[in-house]
Amino acid sequence: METTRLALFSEFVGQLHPLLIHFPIGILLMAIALQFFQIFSKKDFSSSISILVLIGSIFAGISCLAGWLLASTGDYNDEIVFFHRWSGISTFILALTSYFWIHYRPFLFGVLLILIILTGHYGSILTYGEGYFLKPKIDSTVISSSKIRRLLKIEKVQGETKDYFYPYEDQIAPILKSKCYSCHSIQKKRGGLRLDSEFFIRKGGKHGRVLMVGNPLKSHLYANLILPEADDLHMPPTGKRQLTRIEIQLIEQWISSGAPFGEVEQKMVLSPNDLTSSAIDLPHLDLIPVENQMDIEPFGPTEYLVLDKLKDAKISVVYSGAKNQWVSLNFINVKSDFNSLLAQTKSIKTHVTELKLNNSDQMDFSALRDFSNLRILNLGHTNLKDDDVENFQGLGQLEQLNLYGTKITDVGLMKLAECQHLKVLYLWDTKVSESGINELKKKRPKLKIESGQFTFKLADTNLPKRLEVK
Amino acid sequence: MGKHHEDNYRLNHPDFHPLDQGLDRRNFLQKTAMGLGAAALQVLLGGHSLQAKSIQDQILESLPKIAPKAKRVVYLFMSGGPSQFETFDYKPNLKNMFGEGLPDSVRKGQRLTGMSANQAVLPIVPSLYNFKQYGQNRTWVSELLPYTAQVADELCVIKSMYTEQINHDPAITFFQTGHQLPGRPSIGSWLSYGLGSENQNLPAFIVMVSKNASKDQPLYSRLWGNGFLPSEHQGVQFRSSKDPVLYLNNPEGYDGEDRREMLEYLKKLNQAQNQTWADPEVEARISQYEMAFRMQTSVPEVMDVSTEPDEVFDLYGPGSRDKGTFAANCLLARKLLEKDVRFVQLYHQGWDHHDALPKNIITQCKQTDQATAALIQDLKRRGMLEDTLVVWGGEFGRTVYSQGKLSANGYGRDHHPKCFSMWMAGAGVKPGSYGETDDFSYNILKDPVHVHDFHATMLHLLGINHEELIFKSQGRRFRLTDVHGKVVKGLLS
Repeated sequence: METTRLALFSEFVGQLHPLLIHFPIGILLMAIALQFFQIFSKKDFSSSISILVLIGSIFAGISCLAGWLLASTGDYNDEIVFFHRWSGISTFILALTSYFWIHYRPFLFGVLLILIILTGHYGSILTYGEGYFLKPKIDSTVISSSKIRRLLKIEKVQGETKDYFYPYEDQIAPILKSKCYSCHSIQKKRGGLRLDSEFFIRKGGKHGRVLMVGNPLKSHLYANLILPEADDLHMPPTGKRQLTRIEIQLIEQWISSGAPFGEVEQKMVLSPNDLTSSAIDLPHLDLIPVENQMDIEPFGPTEYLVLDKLKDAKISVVYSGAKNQWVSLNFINVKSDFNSLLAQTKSIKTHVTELKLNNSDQMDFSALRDFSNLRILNLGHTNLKDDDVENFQGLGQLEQLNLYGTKITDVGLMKLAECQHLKVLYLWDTKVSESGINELKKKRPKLKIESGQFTFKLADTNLPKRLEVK
Repeated sequence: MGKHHEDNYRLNHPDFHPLDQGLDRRNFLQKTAMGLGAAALQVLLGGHSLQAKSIQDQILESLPKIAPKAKRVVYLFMSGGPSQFETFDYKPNLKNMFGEGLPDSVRKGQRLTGMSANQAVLPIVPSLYNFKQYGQNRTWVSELLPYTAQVADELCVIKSMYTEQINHDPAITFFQTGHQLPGRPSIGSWLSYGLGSENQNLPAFIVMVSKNASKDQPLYSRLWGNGFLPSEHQGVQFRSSKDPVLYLNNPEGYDGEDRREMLEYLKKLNQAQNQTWADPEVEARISQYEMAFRMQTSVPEVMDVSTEPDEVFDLYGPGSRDKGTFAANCLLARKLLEKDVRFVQLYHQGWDHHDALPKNIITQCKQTDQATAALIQDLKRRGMLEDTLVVWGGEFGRTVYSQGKLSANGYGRDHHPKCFSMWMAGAGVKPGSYGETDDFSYNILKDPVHVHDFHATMLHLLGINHEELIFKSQGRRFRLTDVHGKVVKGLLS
């Protein structure tokens, strides 16, 4: 208990080092500047300089102490820490010496200036990384082995159409570089963790592994990102640039897809709208299962072109199914040209589960023949006649057929008995007779027929007043 | 600020068109430069040079996996708070308690409105009207609703609705927007935003208010307002007067060609403005002008009932030939739904019966009963009841005790939020009765349905996970159900 408290205290003091360090630098530089000014102006500032040097030395001492504690956390490159530490302590001793040794001050101050610059330089390397003052000009990324492999691969597969993807190289590493490297790379290993190469990511930090392949929630690399920002374990720490939700999601998908560091053949799936799996995860409602009567390939590029054309013609397209492989087409906005538009659907026919084609009197129903997965067909108020019903033979999955307001008669009705899956049939406002419906019902007893033969019983409009008082 | 948040439901929305049409990336990103969608796309497009197809594919993959049962909604809002005692919630035991004071064990110290809180006694009053059971589900319906009774098998009567509000304005606002205070988007606006419009020539959200109702409690256009959603999603009110939509027609002597040309130039100006500001409201303005232009032809067409046969008018009842009545509005609602309008909202006021309830409720029922039942029948025979959700109900119920003095010729009932009846019919709804109230229809005994739950269920029927239809405004994410609501499985077929 006592030791952890002590550790926490020393960590706290250590963190003050970057803050404190600027006081002695400023004060001592001030003293040095006054000393040089005294030489040229022939005025006597020595008492002021003494005070400045004393204050500066005290702060330098405190800073050294804090720096020692900070270095003991072990997050820093040992070699540079060594130089920084001893040049810092030398600065402190030299400053204190010059307080007492007034006569040698001009010489001591020269050395002190050099020491301050040197210590500052090493400190900057520790904080900002090697080559920090040249950084904007030079991209310090090392060419990685997988980059070389990629170059080789490109030559190898030339002529083949195979595509390789590099999720780590292209998507994950850039995120880590911009959001994590500042604390977790060669210069600064907070928590003993480096994230700048495959080896270190797999190795983890002081507190254990950060990557559990295939399990993002157990990987601190992901899990710490989705903690609330106020949480101590949340990464990046408050105040640092945070990852965007898309970046978080990418890392999640990368880990769950097995955290591949090299090339993969399958492209990593990233859906721009699918933000549900990340920090704002909400439970999915799946009360009504998606109807999936048959497996069918999702749409390909050429098929999307067809759908685009249909949309241009103001046909409303609504997708369904787990892979959105099904569509329902609604021609509600279409005023003319039903037939040519219907002809355009040829290549996507098997994907169509629902068709709404109302209010057309020039329709060619033979175009409906091969919609083999069609489940709902609405032909209300069209020029359908008995002969056209034969075109429905190929509609093996048809469950619901709306023929209200058409010219179908009992003859056509009998042909509908062949549609094996038909469950609901709408026949209001047609030339079908009651006996025809009854005959169909005999053949298909389970078929629900809505003939619209409904009239209200007139209501008794004279309601008696019945309030009885006790 | 941006309008493209995690809205998974908008594939049919015009904003997705650039994406659909071979991905005019620059245009698309410009348009959505402030939205999250854009950022996501940027990552995608920047990361890989993928073909248009797979991006579309991915957007599709992210769509909800709830199969929608309902494609459109017609909401018959009975404004004022219809009494459940005289309509659907049959309480035969009350007959024996006529005039007795309401037991404290039932009221449990519930706060009453200022209108009856000071009454010395709260005398129990049974319904003056008889009930019978109808249809296969043996649904109890009062004799005041003889036509509704004839379609009882289509109805799912929820007897255990409850709300948090005891007065009209906050209660209606709560029902229409999911929040008691004004300013949130109405249900229809959420649907317009989330699902877009199938019909490109009519607004997705249309409102009609009965002219033949007693206007005892006011309605206000914010009830069909868009709140913080882009303004093209607000409800458009169709009126019974010569101009169904105000300011839609061209001024005299100004022909359509000129109008078209003017709008083209105006659009260019607006787009120039939009390039600078990327304000969604500019886009909304452009699309509203265009919609209004298309409505110049589509509205007169859909409002014209002259081609409807007599049989239809007979079905909807005597009022249906008189423009602006509830019956005529029901007929129009059917026509609009036939055109695939997403959300049609009818309001019928006059249900606020604090006194003379027996007399007044007869009028209300006569004005609405037949047309309501006719709407269900008419949708059914056209094959539309399968995918249209019909909703009937008010903002709260009424008390078991009489407000004011109980006399031989009448009684009144005060507002009661703790339980009331409403019904749903059509797409994906399980017919029958749901929930139970106690003998006084004062407290709910079984299966309570909160307003938020009702909203969640309604969205579910439309294929929307109510927790995912979200809009971010003023730094916070909003839903129709806000942070509440659960889908009531017992209402689903």
